Amino acid sequence: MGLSSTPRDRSRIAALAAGDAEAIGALRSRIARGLRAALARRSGICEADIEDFTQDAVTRVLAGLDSFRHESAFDTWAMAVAVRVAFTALRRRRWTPASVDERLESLTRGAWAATPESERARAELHALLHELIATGLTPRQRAALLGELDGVPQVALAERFGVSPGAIYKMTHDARRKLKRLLEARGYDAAAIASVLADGR
Amino acid sequence: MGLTSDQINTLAQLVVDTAAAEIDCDEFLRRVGELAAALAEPATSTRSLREAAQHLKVCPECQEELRALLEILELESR
Repeated sequence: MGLSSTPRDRSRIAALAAGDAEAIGALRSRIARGLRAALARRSGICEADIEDFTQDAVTRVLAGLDSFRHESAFDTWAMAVAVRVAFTALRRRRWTPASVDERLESLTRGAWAATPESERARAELHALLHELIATGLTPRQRAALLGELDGVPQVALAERFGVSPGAIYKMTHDARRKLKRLLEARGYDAAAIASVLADGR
Repeated sequence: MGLTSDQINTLAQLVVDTAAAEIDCDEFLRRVGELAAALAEPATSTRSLREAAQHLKVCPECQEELRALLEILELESR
């Protein structure tokens, strides 16, 4: 697959946009084959899942043809969309609203793991981060950041808060920026943090 | 329970890698084909690719999806 779309890509896109059944069928086959390969080693995936993910991905690709930037091969972009569709569905499947609530409650109220005293510099940075997360972030920023860090998918957090996954990303980005600014104000710029982290390796 | 020591270190690294302006996951998806192609073949570094690479540093879900995409592209190129 090349670096940018080709004249053949452009004619295929035109056929897809026009609802050409043969072009849509070829896209469906290519996506199904790719997803089957990508998900082959995952447990709990059946052929019906591949078919569902493929159908959703084809729908999403057709709806998003206008957003294709023509800076990669069309198949590469379409496959990236398919991977997003499948992985988002799988992430959503692993988390129920109740399990997200339970996890966030545990993360935001629980004690942090102790850092060995032998790692004093790290212990100080950890304690400061703990303090800044508790005092410098909004409750939603705190929950989104800690949840994401603990592996709660953006889609599950988004459903929990009734917002889009993009809004969750913005929440965590705002939280990281705020922590960065607060850490800098306490003498921890990027180089100082990198130095503390490197010392423990 | 709260975060583990490793998770706190990961958070500290994420804070270091945080940029004032970042693209989100939807914008990353628009650029990931370009990034995947650039990783597979020599290419010049564009601002668009640099922003996509920066997003990857702070987004484990997009990292996971890129790994899967590269695996598919690798299988298809054989």
